[in-house]
Amino acid sequence: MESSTTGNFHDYKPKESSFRQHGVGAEGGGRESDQCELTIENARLEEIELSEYFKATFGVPEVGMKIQVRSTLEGGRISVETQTENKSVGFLPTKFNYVLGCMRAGKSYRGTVIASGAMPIPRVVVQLFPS
Amino acid sequence: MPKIIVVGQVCVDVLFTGRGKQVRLGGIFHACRALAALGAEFGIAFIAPSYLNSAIISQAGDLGATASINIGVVDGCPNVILVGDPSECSHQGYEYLLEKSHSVRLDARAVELIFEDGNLKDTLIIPGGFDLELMLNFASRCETRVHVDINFDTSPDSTYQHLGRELDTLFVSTSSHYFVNRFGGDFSAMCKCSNIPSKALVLKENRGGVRCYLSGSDEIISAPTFLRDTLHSVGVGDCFDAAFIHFSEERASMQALRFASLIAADYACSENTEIFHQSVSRCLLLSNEDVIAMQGVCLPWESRPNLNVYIAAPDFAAVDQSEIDAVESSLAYHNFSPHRPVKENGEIDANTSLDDRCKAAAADMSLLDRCQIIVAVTLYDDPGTYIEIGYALSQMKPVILYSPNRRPSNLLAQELPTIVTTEISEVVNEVFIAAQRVLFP
Repeated sequence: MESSTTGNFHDYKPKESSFRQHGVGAEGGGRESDQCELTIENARLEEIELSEYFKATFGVPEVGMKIQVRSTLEGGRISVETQTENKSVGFLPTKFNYVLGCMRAGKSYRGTVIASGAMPIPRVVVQLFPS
Repeated sequence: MPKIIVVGQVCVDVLFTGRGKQVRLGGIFHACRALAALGAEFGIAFIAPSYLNSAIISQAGDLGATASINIGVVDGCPNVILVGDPSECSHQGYEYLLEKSHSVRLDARAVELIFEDGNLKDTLIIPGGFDLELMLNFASRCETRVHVDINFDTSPDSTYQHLGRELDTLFVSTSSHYFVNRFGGDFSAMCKCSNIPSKALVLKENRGGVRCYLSGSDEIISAPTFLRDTLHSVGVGDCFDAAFIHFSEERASMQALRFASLIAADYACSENTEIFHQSVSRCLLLSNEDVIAMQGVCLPWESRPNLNVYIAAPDFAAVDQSEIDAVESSLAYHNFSPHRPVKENGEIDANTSLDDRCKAAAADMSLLDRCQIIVAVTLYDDPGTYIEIGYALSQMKPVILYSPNRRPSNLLAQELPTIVTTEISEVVNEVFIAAQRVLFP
């Protein structure tokens, strides 16, 4: 009976192999991507009320507004700002902290606001593309 | 001999994930992968069943190990570990196949030779299943800094006296018997009363960060966990150990802790060696200032029982409660205080008197008031669960919605909670994040 998926160590591809390889093992976890190349989809920003934009306007940016990630940390957080006025609109959730390393490696992140609202709790949702 | 050597068993980890079964070398290999990604000059002194020898030597060589020394043979056991819950939302459900038949034949001369080389600066020992006393006796004859991860060690404390000096680092985790049973889960007690002298006593607290007691300065420093969308939690602690030792060579302890925490987070997000190496290389571009400032989750073990979590769910006898059980179990595993109102206040049925119905409703609301975070489990569109979600939201409490089977159909339930997820690992992560805000505003 032919085995499936566990014929090899999944994260290791021998440099020279004379046997047939099966399933995932041969690909070395090929479904993973470099995180720095991934689009940040539907990221709900945090601490909106503390942002420069909210303090200045008492509102949230409109859908479609162009935004980008600041290259420096603010209070230990990664801040998203408007492209035109460089006003912060909120922080990326801390699970995106890896973005800082990507930026240090030369990436920048730009995108748009895809959802926003001031009530009942201010909310800004963004999409960001690495470049 | 390389500058750092990792000593211990090599196993085969079989992870049962949503992406299928994943099989890879484990045991001391997790530490090796970290050292390889960091560009460290390292070697391994391994104990394993003989059928694994060629795979170990081959893979260690490809990782860049400058020495791969077989110091012992495992008999009677294939050294295969089945991991039921790789994400460690709850107990990982390790099943060590044929563990009871496991025995080790240690090659004393091979062990002795390791410690005869004056080039060896650091030795990371991951004990378990072999003669640690013999190892420490040989290590006592040279100047190497000895670091031990005690997680799976059952040796008596007196074993460590054979080193003849302090350990440089003793690594413990909150899932270890040593911390939970010996010291009642109290880090201060462990620092004061541990009979294993070490310059640094490091407690790894899973998603809640890491604390380190430095005996020389009698101070405790801490670093956060940098939570990510993890793929697994297997070997992440060993990866941390190796990274901490590596960074401690040239950085202060606080920086070493934080950088190690970043590397461990990357390891938990990857099953691919190349991707992991890429991630680590970018961590190394970060400045000390960036890493010191970066926010994450610091939630000491002892503080977590103060976090009461209300599990809002159709928790009825007629319903399959396994997902609700899983949430409760996960929260309890991480030392939070989960509450299931139906279990605590009783289940109402058609025969319940009006008075008892009123009392139960009041008790549920009272419990909801006392809890700081709500985890809602929407197995189906249960009106009671939605009422509880709405009530909590009106109180501005974090609501984490776990929908294992299907997305909730109600618009407000979809959009108003902090997060709506099908993954219990995300639930646990969000509880940690919300708990930090609640307990340490």
